[in-house]
Amino acid sequence: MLDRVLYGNVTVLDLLISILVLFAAVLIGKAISLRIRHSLKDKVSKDRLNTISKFVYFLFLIIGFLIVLPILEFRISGFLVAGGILGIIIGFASQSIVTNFISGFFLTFERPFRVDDVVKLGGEDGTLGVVEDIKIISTTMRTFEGVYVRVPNEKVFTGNIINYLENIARRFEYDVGIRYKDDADEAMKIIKELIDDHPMALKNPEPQVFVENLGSSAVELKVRVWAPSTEWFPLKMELLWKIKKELEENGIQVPFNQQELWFKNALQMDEKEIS
Amino acid sequence: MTDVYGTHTVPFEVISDDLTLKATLENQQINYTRELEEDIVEKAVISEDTRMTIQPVEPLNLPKDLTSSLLIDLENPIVIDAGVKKDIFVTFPIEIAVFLESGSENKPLDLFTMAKQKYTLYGDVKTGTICKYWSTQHSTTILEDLDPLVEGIMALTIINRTKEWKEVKKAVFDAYGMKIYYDDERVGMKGAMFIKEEELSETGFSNKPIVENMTKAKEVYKKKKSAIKGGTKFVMESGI
Repeated sequence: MLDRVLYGNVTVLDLLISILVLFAAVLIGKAISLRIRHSLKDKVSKDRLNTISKFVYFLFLIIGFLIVLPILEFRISGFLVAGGILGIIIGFASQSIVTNFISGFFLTFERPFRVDDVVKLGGEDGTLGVVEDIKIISTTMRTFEGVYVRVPNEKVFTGNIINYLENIARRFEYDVGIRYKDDADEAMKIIKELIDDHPMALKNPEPQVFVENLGSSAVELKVRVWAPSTEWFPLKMELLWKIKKELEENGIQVPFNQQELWFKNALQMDEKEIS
Repeated sequence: MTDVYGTHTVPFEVISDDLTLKATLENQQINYTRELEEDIVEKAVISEDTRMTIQPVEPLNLPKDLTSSLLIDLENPIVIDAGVKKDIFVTFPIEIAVFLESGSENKPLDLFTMAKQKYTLYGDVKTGTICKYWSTQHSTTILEDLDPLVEGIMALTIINRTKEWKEVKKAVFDAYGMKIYYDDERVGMKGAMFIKEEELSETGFSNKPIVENMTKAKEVYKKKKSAIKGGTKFVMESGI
């Protein structure tokens, strides 16, 4: 049974050996890549670890194929000749796959973002989310609405990439208007104290609070605060309301828009009625 | 002077100003309560070991495990002559951990602080480091009358190895090298700062108490270190 010839000199035994070799290559590749993941998980960044483990896995698969091909009497030189013609056909058919593959290759080296970074891919109107994986052909993201998004690497590579976590600190700013009759110095002091009390508002670069404009209805204060990039948004959400409440508790109010109207002719109105 | 630090056997209750730590035993379950001002934490522990150790730990866990670097900002800069070695004393913030004696050494049951918490950036936004921030005065003699639940004393040796006068305004330390010791009166650690070049200094710690007969604190950051590359020294490349 095992000596039964399938084609050429290839027997059933050869086929079984080939399957076993490929199976072993997959198993060993997975085991070693898992082992690498386990031992390096705290020493190497997640995305780099992904690349290394995938590389090791595919390396074992290739070795497995290289062992199996002679057993099954496939000649690599034959592949090359046939591949020349086939390559042209496949090349045209899989142009976008190749482009995505090459883009993925360059993205791995350029590393404009890493796994777990918050990025916007495709410029200002692009997709905003957390990078989940950088694969050979595509990059996968999770938007803040929890939606899975797969972006082809060609689009990632050729489009604008905004990485919100590339730098470790990030600034945000508020415009706070107060009434003209309020003490702007006191308001600025209160805001500075609030910023100073918050652990995540960085001491350095120093926060800035200053009168930016004397507006039509309010004295406009500008508040600029630096925060660790990972804490930027929670701090931005929290601080503005605290500023508003603290100012109000100290008798400083954010004014409504005001307009004075002048009438060409005096209004015909009985003063007694309106009083 | 405080009776908070040390190993306590359940049931116990320790009170210090705004802080109350209490553990009771009920049906083989330990009920742990911590009250700090308006903040109340309650935890139920199932363990046969009824001993708990309360001690200071590296001040880098709260409010979030964001960094392992502590920046000590000197209110008054120190100008030090070329080739000179000088010992000074500064303060550092304290975080207090409650460990179960039979529990994991680097995972406390509870962690809290009474010191002001603030972060800062050392260096620039591209290559810098987020650090826990602490502002302190310095003294040439050991600082007295500090609350050991709030502030510790760091004996800091500054060594100017350059051939110029140097002005020291700040020092950045890595938590992985911190060796904290404590007793009922004070919490302390010994640090060193080597000024090597114009924009290059190195800081580290020595594994010795600032006075004799202090107890060595468990290190939260020690266990994590085995998994982290790099040493326990901090290289200051963005000025002192």
